Amino acid sequence: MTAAAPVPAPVPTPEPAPAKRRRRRRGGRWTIAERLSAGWLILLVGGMLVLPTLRGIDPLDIGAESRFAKLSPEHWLGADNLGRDLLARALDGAQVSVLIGVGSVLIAALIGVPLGMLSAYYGGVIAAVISFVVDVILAFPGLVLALGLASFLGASVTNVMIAITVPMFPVFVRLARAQTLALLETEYLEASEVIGTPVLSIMRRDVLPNISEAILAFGFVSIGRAILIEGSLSFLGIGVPRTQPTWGGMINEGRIYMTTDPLLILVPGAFLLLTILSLNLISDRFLVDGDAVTGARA
Amino acid sequence: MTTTTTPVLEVRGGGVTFRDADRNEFRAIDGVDLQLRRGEILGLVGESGCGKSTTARVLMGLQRLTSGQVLLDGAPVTPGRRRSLAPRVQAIFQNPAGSFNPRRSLLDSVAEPLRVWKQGNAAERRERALEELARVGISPQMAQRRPSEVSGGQCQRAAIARATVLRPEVLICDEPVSALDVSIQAQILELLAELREEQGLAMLFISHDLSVVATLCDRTAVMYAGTVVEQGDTPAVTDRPRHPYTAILHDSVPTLVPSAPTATGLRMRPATGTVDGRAEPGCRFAGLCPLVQDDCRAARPELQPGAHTAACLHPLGA
Repeated sequence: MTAAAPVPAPVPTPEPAPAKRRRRRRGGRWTIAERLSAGWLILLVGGMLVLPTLRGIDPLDIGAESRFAKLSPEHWLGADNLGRDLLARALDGAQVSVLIGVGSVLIAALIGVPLGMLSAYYGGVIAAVISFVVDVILAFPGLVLALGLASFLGASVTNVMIAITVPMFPVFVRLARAQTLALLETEYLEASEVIGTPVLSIMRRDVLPNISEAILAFGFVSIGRAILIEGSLSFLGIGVPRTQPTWGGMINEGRIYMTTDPLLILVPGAFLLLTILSLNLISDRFLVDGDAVTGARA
Repeated sequence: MTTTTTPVLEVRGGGVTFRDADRNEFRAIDGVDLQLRRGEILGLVGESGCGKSTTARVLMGLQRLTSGQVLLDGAPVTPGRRRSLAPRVQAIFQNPAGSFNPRRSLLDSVAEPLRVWKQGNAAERRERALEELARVGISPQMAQRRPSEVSGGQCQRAAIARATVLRPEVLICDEPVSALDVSIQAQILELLAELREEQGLAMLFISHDLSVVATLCDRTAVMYAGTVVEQGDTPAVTDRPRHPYTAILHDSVPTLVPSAPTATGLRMRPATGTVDGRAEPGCRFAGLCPLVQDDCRAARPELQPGAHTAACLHPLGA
């Protein structure tokens, strides 16, 4: 997960969930893994917001005396080859990762879910056009497409978000489409039809609330995936501007010192690993039906 | 019940053909003629797969006719257009709990048609919905519950409230009691009969249970293999069936006394393999009919207009 760019998993094609949905563990006890995951995410976001001001260490400050510092009261997680505080840099990178992760998934869902619902509902030409676009985009490996887009658009946070959103939104289209298709057989959608409810209202009131759990679960996994792609792009130097600390960029810079000072890649690597793992574990809580998104694990 | 008035809802020569991926055609219904008059309850009976529900879906506006037309108050309905029948035609379904959004309270769902058709403000709509629910015997406390938290009978009552809250002229009931306990069935049937009395609501009541139809419906239409084979006033159809299929259907109502005499004593001829009446060139029932004659296999009998008619070349009691 640290060095080489991971090969993207095969394109997930979620199966439609059975029409009869059962609720599982809603409001039930949290497992230990889920508590730890939630704990880490709270810690990360809290630390990201509070610690920089509390500690007053600039992630860009260099210092000859603190080069390759070990764990110490001054540098809690050590310092890198230029004497920059690793924790401060990792937390600064977290801001970028969280912004890009959450942002690109939100945009992908906002584009993908309505398209998927409409394609399922209307079928015919609309569905054919939408699935064609989706299939074309999904024909590219996600990371390769992101790489191409990022290098074409140039380094900036917005461009990285675009580069991640484009390969990601088609999966939301497919998920929403599959979930909606399963709902179409239910009598309450037909009842709404007979009442004469406008299509948009049916989508908003009858369909969306009943597919939201699967979308949410997949969204959490996708945040992890987006952060991973962002890390890969930064690692390759085509992500956000290089002056901005990022986990991927830190791993890249620390790579040369891997044998002598492994802390340089261990710290950002651990942040990346724990965050993605936590997001994946948390997503289980939103699963109504295990089949709905297992295929979408990336 | 004069025949000169225009039926409130009518299907003329209605046909629905489904095509599968291999372009194989299946005629779910073919040449269906039904007239529903104002304030009348028309029963539609037949075995599973005979096209009852397809006919119902056509009249609810959920299924497009591939031939023929639907007329509302004598005016042809534009096929495939949404809201061409709503809100004048409303429906209740077989699975009461399944016809409600599981995430919303019964009250919400019953107020929804008022919201869709922009009647009153939120408070007025709530008031109207509660009134309608009270009329079908759902208390305000019960109305706050979700469909999974009430019984099937209560759900079906709420479904009736939702269907009538817009004061429709026609109610399509697709097997509304077949998923319910017998004791609850009676209550729901009573409720439907009351609604007809109070509002002059016309109903198409679909069932595979002849005894239910016999107690509730003014007229009865019998479907077989995608077409109406007999129609007439309910007492006439049940007591003096003219189509052999109706007679057999009537005799097949289970009784507590196995040796009790049947009305006609007719039995279906044992079939060799599956008999697809739709594929028969002549009468669709010819393959199973105990009274089949040579000409039945050649010519397809049509349902003639009239008070009590059967699509049969050699009707019983003729």
